[in-house]
Amino acid sequence: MDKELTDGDLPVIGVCENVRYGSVHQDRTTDPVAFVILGEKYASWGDRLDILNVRLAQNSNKVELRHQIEDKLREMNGDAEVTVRFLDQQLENLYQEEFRFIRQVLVFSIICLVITLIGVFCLTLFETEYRRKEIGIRKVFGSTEEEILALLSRRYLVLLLISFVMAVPLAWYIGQQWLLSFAERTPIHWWLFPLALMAVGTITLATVVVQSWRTANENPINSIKNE
Amino acid sequence: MLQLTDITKVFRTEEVETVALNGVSLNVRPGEFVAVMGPSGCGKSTLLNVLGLLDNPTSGRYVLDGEEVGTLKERQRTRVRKGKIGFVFQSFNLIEELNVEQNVELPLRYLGVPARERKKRVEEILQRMAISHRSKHFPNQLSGGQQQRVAIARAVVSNPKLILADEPTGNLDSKNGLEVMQLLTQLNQEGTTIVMVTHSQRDANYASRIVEMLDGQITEGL
Ligand SMILES: Nc1ncnc2c1ncn2[C@@H]1O[C@H](COP(=O)(O)OP(=O)(O)O)[C@@H](O)[C@H]1O
Ligand SMILES: [Mg+2]
Repeated sequence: MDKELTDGDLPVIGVCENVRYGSVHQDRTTDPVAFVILGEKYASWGDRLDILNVRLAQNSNKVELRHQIEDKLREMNGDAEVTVRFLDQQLENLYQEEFRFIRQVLVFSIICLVITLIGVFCLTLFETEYRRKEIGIRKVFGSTEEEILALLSRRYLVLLLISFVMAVPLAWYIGQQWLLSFAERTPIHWWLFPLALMAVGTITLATVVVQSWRTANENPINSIKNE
Repeated sequence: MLQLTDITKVFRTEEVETVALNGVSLNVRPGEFVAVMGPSGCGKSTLLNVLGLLDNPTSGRYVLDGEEVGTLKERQRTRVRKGKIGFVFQSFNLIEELNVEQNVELPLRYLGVPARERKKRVEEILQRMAISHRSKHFPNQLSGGQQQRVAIARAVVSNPKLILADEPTGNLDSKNGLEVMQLLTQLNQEGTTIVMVTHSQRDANYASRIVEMLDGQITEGL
């Protein structure tokens, strides 16, 4: 409709589907929304023009710019109240709960990982000492250092795989439950799980290898000598 | 089979320096059975470790089967060692967590012999050592003599050309010791070269040559 039928009609210049606004916890895509461009003609509509979005150039001094913007607005607006806020801060306020939750999960995950690694570290320390003679014998009869390291790592790999198999459905289910509280959802990508396995596996194996390196490389006659 | 030329071995710790081998030259021909004798601490085990590529000499040349092996890196020593050399120790050195079969199978595993073939060869050798009725037992369920027979089975299962034995009868009573000596003699008669360290004159008499050592040097039997 390019022409005004009655006085004050607005011409439609575009239709947009599914406008998303507000928190992603709620689905508001079916709410009716109209965006109006208030040109000169509607200047008399008054106070509705009270939000101004400003995009700052990258790497600009945000605090200084904020002051400048505030000053400018006061200058233009006279007595009107001026509040300048940052969009990212507002978004952060909106998702404070989520951010806190994610931080907590992260902290607990790191604590779990550290405890596990301490355990693996001590277990390997104990095991290499306990199996020192066996390792020496194996080397005398032809085992290479790599085969010794593989021997010592195998049980940790098995444990890791078992934990992985148990953890994946659990993690998937919990993640899914959490995501259900959002109207907008990111999918749980399948590759996240092997990625996590590889990350944890690498750290665990590195711990085992570093720990057993000395024993695996030791001259076997030292460890099989009669006490 | 093997030639040692002017081998020395020096152990250095922070305070002391021990010369365990002091210019040892030795020639062992294929099929020989050499007994090494000498007082405790004269370097017999050190000599055997050098022969077995378990330790590098500090200086000197060691040619095994036509290959200079005295200066090899650990990785290459392992390659030469497995398949070519079998070890028998005074204290048996079986792996407690593995049963007889698994212990004997060990060298074949590291040689990459397929499972079916391993099983066959382990069975054969256990039969020969008259210990096959104990194949599922663990070392601590066996007597000393039986353990040493398992250890010999492990040493020869890969058909090595050279067997190195460090006081193989040292922890055995005379009856079991005799049995072990008979097994070694039999293997020697079938062509395996043997170098054996021993304290017992009676055991040494099984050998085709006796080498006497004193203070890191060979004094007799060169
Ligand atoms: N790993 C080692 N570190 C330091 N000294 C050693 C080591 N192995 C052997 N020795 C010393 O070398 C000498 C010879 O030892 P060894 O060959 O075991 O004698 P034997 O077997 O004839 O009783 C001894 O004085 C011993 O203390
Ligand atoms: Mg000795």
